[in-house]
Amino acid sequence: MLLFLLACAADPQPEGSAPEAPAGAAVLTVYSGRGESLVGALFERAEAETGVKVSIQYGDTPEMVTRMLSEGAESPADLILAQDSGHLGALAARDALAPLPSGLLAQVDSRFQDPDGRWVGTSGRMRVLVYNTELPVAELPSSLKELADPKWKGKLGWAPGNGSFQAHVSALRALWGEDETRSWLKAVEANGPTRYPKNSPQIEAAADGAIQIGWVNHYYWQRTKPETAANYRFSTAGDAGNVMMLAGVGVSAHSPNQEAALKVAEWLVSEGVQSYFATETFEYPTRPGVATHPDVPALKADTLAEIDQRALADLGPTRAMLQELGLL
Amino acid sequence: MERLVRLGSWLSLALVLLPLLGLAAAAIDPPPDPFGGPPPRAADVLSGGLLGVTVALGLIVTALSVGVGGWLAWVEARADYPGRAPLGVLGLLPMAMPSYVLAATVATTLGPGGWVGKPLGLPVFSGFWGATLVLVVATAPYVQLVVGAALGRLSASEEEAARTLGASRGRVLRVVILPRVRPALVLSGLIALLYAISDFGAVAVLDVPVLTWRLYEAVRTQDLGRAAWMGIALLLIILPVFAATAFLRGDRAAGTVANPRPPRRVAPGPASLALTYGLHALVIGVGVLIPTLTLGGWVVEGLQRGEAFAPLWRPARDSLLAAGIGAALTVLFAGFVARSGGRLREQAVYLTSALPGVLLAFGLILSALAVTRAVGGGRAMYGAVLGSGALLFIGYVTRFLAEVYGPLKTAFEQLDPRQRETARALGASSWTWLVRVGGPAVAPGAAAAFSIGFLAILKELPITLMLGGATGLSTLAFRVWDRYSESLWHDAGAAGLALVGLALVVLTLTLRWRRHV
Repeated sequence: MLLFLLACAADPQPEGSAPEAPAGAAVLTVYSGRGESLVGALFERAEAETGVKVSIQYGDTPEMVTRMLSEGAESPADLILAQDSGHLGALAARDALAPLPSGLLAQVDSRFQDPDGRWVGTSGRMRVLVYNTELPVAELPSSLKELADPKWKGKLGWAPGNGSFQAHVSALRALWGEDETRSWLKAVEANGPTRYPKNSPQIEAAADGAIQIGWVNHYYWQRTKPETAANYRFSTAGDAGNVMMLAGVGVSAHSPNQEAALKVAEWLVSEGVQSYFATETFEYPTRPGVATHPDVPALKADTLAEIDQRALADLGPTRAMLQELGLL
Repeated sequence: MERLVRLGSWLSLALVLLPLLGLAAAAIDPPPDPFGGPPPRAADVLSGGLLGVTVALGLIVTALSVGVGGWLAWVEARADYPGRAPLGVLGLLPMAMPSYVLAATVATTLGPGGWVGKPLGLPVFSGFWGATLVLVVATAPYVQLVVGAALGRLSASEEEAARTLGASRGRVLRVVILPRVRPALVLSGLIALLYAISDFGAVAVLDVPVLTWRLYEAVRTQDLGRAAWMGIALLLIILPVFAATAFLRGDRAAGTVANPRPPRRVAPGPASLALTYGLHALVIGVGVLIPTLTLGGWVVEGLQRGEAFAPLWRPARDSLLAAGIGAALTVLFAGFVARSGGRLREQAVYLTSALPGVLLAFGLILSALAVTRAVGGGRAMYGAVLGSGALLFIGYVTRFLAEVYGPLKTAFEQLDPRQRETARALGASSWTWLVRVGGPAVAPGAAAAFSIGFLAILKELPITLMLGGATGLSTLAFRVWDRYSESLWHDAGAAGLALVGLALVVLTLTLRWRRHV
């Protein structure tokens, strides 16, 4: 009786009256580490545009990845949409993702996908500085390395617990090497940056003048557009500070619905969805030729640091380094 | 009925063991570290003073929380002062506030840039003492509610008899009242302790290095083996507390008289009055006003900017459903254990409540997977188990069993066994006794237990996310978190206010019922 009660109570009652899926078609389960606020409205269009019925489970990307790995062949997930590509890398490294067909890979900028072809980026957030506009732009560092300069003592903010922060430090290890990354972190830490539990409070802190410079992802500023703060990307071409953080999609290696899963993955990098990410969430599209939002400066060919996406997934040594330095 | 109760209490024990077995398996035979690090050892959790900070935070929060909540319960029951009733209800609302929201809004408001911190020139609000303040405010209402329910069952006649026999006020308090409320004080202190050591929200926002912090870190790096060991460390912290609890609770209080006559309220002296208003101001100011004003501010700013608000009807309905059913089930299972009085089962109810929700959810997932694999049920069976919501509600029950158990147990302990014997002698069946005598006598405790469970589930997130995702439930707490993580303040604010509103309605209803019984 109890189980019956539980079953009744938990009976899912989807909103609205979506058209019936064709008989026999499976419902595709998507683990989404991207929030409902970012992709909920988008996925409501999925069935009409792909013919595949989807059911979404939301959660934090790292926890969803841990869960998918534990679940293995029993995992209900057919598709995972991750907030950070680094975690897709962790899944790929444990053979939990199926290789994607070259036709799909070809639709995405080659810099924004797994070199081994097991996931593709669906949109990007650029790592930038957010600064208080009382600070003249000319005084801003031309390269990330300059944040170690003692002149920034007491003026910085950062969020070492944040996933993008850690992925960026992983990128720095690949670009600069272990020793240089460690001594840079140490030098910045000596400037006494204010620690934040996540990225976004730094926007407000920079706008209020509580800090002069924060180290964040670009799209938080566009959300509220405070007048006294602005985004800045390093003027040096290919600077290690100019790194793109990707959200991305992978298909579970264990999914019995490979075809439908691929259809939805392809839809996520289609022009329509890519413009959605550009206009609704202020992100960088990963499909070449799709324009960014007017408030988001387009990338130049040489803006970004050249980096293998797999390097961003190498989180273990990064965390060890951050812990050793007392930053975690 | 006794057989049903006994059966139910063993079932409760089984529910508690379910996630623990999954975690034990992960600790003994950990999945490989995805980053190729050394295998986890028990000693890892002792590194970096994590254990010391965790224990210190737990004990200090418990002591302060018992002091604050105990005093407020006492004056609410015995004193007469302007605003007593509304302040009493408002003071319980921090129980509905997700602790990361509480911590974040308090840190912003009292910090250097906040509307309180700026004019006062306060430093950055974070660290151990910041977390202590937030956790005391979050847990004192539990003490207030549980001790208040116990005080409400005392009768004036005993105290008057003692006074007539020449006992001083102090002696009456020590000899007559304290022994009766001691179990309530101890059990609610235990709730505060479990809350403080298993909470992640406040310590994460305020940057305090405790075990739960490192535990989340391990879960987030796919290192379940290490996370399981940290969970075991949390349980080891709790074990000595069990022994202490049994000792502190003292002799099982003899029953109260049949129809308690409430003692007359007295007007408190100026010092008591100042303390009372001061503590109300602390709990309501920090735990209710700051967060609701902040949430309200986000809504107003959103309105000014002309933001579109997401409708709240569905999350409100789902929250009501999840919290209503979850709390009822938790009260039922806690009631079985409290009534059966089995010692082992009684201590087991605390075990899973010491674990952070995320670990508990993983424990249940691992157990469900082990069973699925053992019977070869495959993806379909596992999916059906998750989709049925059974794991979700087992998650709620096991996470909040201890919080609900406190007020129920004290209610049962204050039952007069002689009434039971009389009823039996008069030929009443145990069901008749339950409906006519036992039920009404336990009702205030059950009402308090239900409201505690309801509010706890209302704000619950990790279990709801992980075990509820497949059921399609989308709660207000999920909405707050989802919008808050993406800095969509207006929607987070609206959902947060809806959550507080729902909590207020439910508290008003259950407490009214409690008073009228």
